[in-house]
Amino acid sequence: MTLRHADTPVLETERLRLRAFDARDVARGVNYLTQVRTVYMGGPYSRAAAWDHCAGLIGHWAIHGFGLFVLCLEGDDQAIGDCGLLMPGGYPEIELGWGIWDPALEGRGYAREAARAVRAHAYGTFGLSTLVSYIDPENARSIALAERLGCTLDAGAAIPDLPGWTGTIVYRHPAPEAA
Amino acid sequence: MPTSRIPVLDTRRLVLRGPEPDDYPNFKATFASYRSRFMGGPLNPYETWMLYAAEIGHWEIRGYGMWMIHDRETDKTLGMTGGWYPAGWPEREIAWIIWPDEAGHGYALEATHAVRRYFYDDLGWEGAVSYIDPKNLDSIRLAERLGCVKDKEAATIDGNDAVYRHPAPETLRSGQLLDGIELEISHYCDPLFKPKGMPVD
Repeated sequence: MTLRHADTPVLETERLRLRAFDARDVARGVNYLTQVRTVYMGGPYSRAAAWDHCAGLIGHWAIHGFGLFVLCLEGDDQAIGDCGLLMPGGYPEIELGWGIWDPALEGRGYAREAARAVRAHAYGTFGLSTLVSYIDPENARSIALAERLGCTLDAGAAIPDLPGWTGTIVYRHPAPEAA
Repeated sequence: MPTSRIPVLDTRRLVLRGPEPDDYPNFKATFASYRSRFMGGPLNPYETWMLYAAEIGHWEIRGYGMWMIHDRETDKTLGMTGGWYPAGWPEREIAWIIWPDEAGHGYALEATHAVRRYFYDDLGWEGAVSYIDPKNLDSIRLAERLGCVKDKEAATIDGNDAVYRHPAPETLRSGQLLDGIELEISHYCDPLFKPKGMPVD
């Protein structure tokens, strides 16, 4: 039941095209994951570990049929960020995650635009009934975005029982009828 | 290369296919166990899952990767073998792992001999190495049975591994080494005979 890459969905928003993370995104993905900016999401990675992570993101689509999208601006196939649904081993439920790869493109609402599209896709096409975002308590930008997306703190939600996750806070997205 | 287009390799006792989502439980059991101590394990649930996902992603990025080894008769999985070349590796590696309960039947020898032939004959590789923990005596012994020679000059992954260099394609085309490997495999396939070497992997 392996998913073929050609079958992965493409989401269009006002300014963005979201397509599945694939082999052509590895070089830029590695560059992003080795930046200090990824400190709130398990980084910065070594180049070797970043490559392994990118290979895993591609396999994520094959295993689950969903995964991380990359964000492309109109008329350009180069990824400027990522947003998608994540459920690797150790996760108690599906997470909606995001990241802007180029610091110069932060603050323009791209992550918000992508997250809304992915959430609508998750609730619509996939029929999910709930989503969380796991956020480092010091990651003020992501907390602000979660709140703009209508998420609320869920103190009772489980976090992945993995090293380094202690203290992670869980924002729960509004239910499909409220999103 | 999408996993749906990964070539299937057949040997006398085995079928090698691309890693499928359904095959994950056996991989997980092995990488969560002490068996994986020479391959960076044991790993936690996240690391194990992401490594398995990376096995699939590796095929997409490099066009080759690790096959899942299946028993031809029962279809159960026995381990993995194939090519492994993540960003941290100095050269393309031929790697293998056999699930702990399936060791000792020559599966790694039979499967790895087949994938090496595929890399040499179909992909045109001129050679390959295997990076092996110096304490992993079973794998060192298998590398030697496959004709590998320790290469003390070659770059290692991180200084904690020994580099075993595989024989060149022309060495494997015919001759004593090839005959020896195929004779040993045939001994494993035919239970009337016992392998002469240590029954590892």
